[in-house]
Amino acid sequence: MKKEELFQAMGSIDETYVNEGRENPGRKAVQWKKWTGIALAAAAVFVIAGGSVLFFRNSILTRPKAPIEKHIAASRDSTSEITEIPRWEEMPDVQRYAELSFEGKTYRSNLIYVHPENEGETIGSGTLTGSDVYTDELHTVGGTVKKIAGIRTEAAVAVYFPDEPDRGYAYVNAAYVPKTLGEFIADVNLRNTLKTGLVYTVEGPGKQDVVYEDVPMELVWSMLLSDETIVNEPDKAVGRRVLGIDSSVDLLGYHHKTISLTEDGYLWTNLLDSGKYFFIGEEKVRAFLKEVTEKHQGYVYIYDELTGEYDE
Amino acid sequence: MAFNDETIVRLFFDRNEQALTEVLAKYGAYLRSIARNILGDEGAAEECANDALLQAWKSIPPNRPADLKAYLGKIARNLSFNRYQKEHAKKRGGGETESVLEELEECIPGGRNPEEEVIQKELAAEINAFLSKLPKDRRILFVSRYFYSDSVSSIAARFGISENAVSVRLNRLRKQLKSHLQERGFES
Repeated sequence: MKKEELFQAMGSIDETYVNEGRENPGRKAVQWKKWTGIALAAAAVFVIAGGSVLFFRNSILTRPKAPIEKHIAASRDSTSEITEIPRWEEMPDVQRYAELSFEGKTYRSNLIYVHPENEGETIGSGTLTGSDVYTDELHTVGGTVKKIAGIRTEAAVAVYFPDEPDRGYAYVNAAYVPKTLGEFIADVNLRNTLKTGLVYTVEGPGKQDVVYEDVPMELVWSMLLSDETIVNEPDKAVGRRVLGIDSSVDLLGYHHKTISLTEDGYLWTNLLDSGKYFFIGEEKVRAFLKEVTEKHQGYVYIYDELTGEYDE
Repeated sequence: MAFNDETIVRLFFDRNEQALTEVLAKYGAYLRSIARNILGDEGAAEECANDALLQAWKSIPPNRPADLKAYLGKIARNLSFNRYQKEHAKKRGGGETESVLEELEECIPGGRNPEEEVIQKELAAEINAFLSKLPKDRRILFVSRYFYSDSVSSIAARFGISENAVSVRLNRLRKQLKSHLQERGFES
C-alpha cells in the first residue's frame, strides 16, 4: 500500500464525517452535556408525574407537530473534555494498559470501573500491553480476568491489576461482531444495560436537528429491536441517516453513542466500537419516525452563548 | 437569500446554470479552502474549485447527492490531489500535502499490495469503521488533518490547544489506525 492510496481512500470517508470535520470541536460536547441534563430533567418530570403519564401522553397527541425553538444557556467549558495526554508515570494502570490479550482475543479498555456487584467468576489471566505515547516504549503486565455479570466474554471482560486486586475495569472485545441482533442483545445483556435518551431527526446539511425529549425506551424495543433474528451486515454501506437515538451502555463505558435509522431501512449502532448494521426494513423506519414526530413534541435547540462567537 | 441544497440539486437536474452560481456563492470558499490546503497556491485553488463545479455539472444528474456539500468537497479534494500529483512530478507543492502524506505513511502496515479496486473500497470502509469508533473530538481532529489537510497550527487554534498536543494526538490516532488496519488483514 502506498501513502497516496491511503490519502485517496480518506477521500471516500462517510459524508457525515466530512461535514463533521468542519464543525467546531467543542460544540457537540456542550450539546451532549446539555442534552444529558435535559434528559435527566425530563426523566425527573416523568417520575414526578407518576400515574398521570397516560394523561400526559394523550395530551401530546393534540400538540402541534412543528418544532419549538428552545433556548439553552451554553456554558463556557465547551472544550473542557479536551485534555492533554498525561505522562506514563502519571497514569493509573487501566489508562496505561489499553489492550488485553486473553484466549486469543484482543480487548480494549474503556476506562470504566466495574462495580463489585457486577463482578463475575474468575476465568483466567491475561497480558495487558500499553505504549508510552511520549517515548514509544512498550510495556506489559499480567492481570486477572473475570466475567462481568450478565455480559458474555465474547463482548467484554473485567480486568484486575496486581496492584489493585479488588478493583475491576471493563475491557471490550475489539473485534466483537455479533451475528444477529438477538446475539448482540444477549451478549451485552442489552435488556438490562441499554439506556436510551433523546431522539433526534437528522434534517440534513444546513438545518438543525429536531430533538424529541420524551420518547420512551419501550418504544425503541417494541418498534425497532423486537426481531432478534435479523442478521448483522457489518460491511454494509447504508444510506443517509434519518434519525438518531442517544444510547448508552454505561456498564461497559459507552456513553452517548447512537442507534441510528437510515432511509434505506437499516438500524445501525456504534455501541461496542465496530458498526453493526441490521436491516429492519423501510416500513419500520417510517413507522418509528411517524410515531416520534407525530406524538412527541420536537425542539430545535438554540445555544445562546455559543451563537456567533463559536461560529466559524 | 441562499437556496437550500435540495433546490440547488433540482436546478442541476433542470440543467439550469443558476445551480453553478448558487453553489459558488454558497460553497465556493469551502471548495477553495480544501484545494488551497492541498495545493498551497491560491490561483491553483481557484481553478480547482471551478473544475469541481464543472465536474458536479457533469455528474449531477445522473448522481443525486444526498449531501451536496460533502459531495462537492470530495470532488474538490480528488481534483486537487490529482493536480498535486501532476505538479509534484515537476516540483514540490507548497501546501500541507507533503506533510500529510508522510504522516499517513506511518499508518500503513507492510505487506499487502492493494492494486485491486476492491481492496481500495475495503480500505475506505475500514477507515470509516475506524472513524465510527473514535470519540467525536478525535474524529474531527483526524478528518481535519487527513481529509481537509488542515495545518497543525490551524487545528490547534480551532481546538484551543497547543500544536504539540495536536501532534501527540494525531500520532496516537495514526498508531490506532495502523493497528486497526493490521487487525483486519492489511498486512502480509
